[in-house]
Amino acid sequence: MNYFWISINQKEQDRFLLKCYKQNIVIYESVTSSKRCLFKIAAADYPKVSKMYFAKVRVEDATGTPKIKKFLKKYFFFIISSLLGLFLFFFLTHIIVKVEVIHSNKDIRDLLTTALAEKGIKKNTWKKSFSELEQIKKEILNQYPDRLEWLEIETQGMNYYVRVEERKLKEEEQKMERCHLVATKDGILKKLIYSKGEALLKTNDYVKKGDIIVTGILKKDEETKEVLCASGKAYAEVWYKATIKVPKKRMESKETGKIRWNILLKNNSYNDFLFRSRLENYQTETKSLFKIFNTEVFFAKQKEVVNTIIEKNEAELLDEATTKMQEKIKLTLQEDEEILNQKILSQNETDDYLEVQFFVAVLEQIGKQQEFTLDSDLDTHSPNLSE
Amino acid sequence: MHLYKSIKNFLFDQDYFIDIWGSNVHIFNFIDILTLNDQNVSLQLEKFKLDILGSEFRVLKLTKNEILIQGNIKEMRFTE
Repeated sequence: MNYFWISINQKEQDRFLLKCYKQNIVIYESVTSSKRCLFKIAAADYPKVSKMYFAKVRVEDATGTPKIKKFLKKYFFFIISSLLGLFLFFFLTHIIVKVEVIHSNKDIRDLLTTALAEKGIKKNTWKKSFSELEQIKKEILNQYPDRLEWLEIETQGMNYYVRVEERKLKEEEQKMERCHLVATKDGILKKLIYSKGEALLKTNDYVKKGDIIVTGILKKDEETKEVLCASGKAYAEVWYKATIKVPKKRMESKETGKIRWNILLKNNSYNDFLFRSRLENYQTETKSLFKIFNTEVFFAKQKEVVNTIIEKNEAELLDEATTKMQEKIKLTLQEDEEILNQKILSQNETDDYLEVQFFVAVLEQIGKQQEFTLDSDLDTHSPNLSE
Repeated sequence: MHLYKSIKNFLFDQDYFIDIWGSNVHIFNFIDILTLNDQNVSLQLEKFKLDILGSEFRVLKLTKNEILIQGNIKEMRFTE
């Protein structure tokens, strides 16, 4: 039930009460202060009370609907702006303004953009739930089983980033009828694994580029019995010369303890601090706050540092050069290949750099299948190696 | 409804009642208010008139047939 707390002058209360009694107005509660009397009456009785001209009736408070109305009237703008803010927040967090397919192949990008649009993933649409995205991913992968290997839809702020892996069907290995396993590099044969053919060399034999390691011609008593395609792997110790240049000085940064806070704004074309930094040299630690309209906002902590240049000693320089050389060589090696040993051939020193030349021995697979042709007669063949 | 009426009759089987506790007087089933001010409250009940005399009277609750008064009660008179 809705009530009003009304107040009247204390002098008028007797008359007021009698009048209330006569007009069947119920007084539910009353409180008396020094000058005024407060009465709790039903909201429905208020029009009757307001017509009592002998008393100056003032509404002090209300309960129920009148109170809500009063509250809404008082905080109208606050409530409206809060609701608008909430709506805007909901709108901005539930809408997609950009769908970007990340792949180098334009065909795949176009294919996926169309497929996603058909499933309702396009710009200026509502965001999908996790389960819906999973379902869409599944459907698209099933739709293009021979084109797409893997698909991921990543939500970042108001954008969808679609990462995709193209399915590359393995080209059928070229079947050769007649081939030898031939060395592609000079070296010392260390390991030979073959399943077809006949080995012409054994381990620790020196092998030259182009030499046949395993032949596809099987002979018995100087007579050719069978011609096939030799297959296998030949590992040999091969040698390289590698030259590495390392700087003799390095920069060392030491924190002074001074810290400044800043805001970093980052997007595709812009990457700068919001406020000018008062520190001359500093290192920055960032923490992502939020992302809006393609711009990511970071909270940045700038720590002042003092840079000092330190000269490296010889051992340090050689260690660095060796590590660099090994990293460089390993980039070219397969899983089953390795560096066997390395030696320093020469060192050249300038004011700024040390240049080290290494001699490196590597265990590498050097066998490669190479087709050959036979002359008219099997017995009088001469392999015709072609690159 | 019959049960409700029975309970009501059981609870309010009197024509009126007057409860007094502390500085409060609760009167139920009066017919009319004759006088009402901070020193004197006169009520007409069915068979008699009730005058409550004292000071600093305050009406805490008031309906058509029920009144709750608080104040310094000095005297209560019942006249036919």
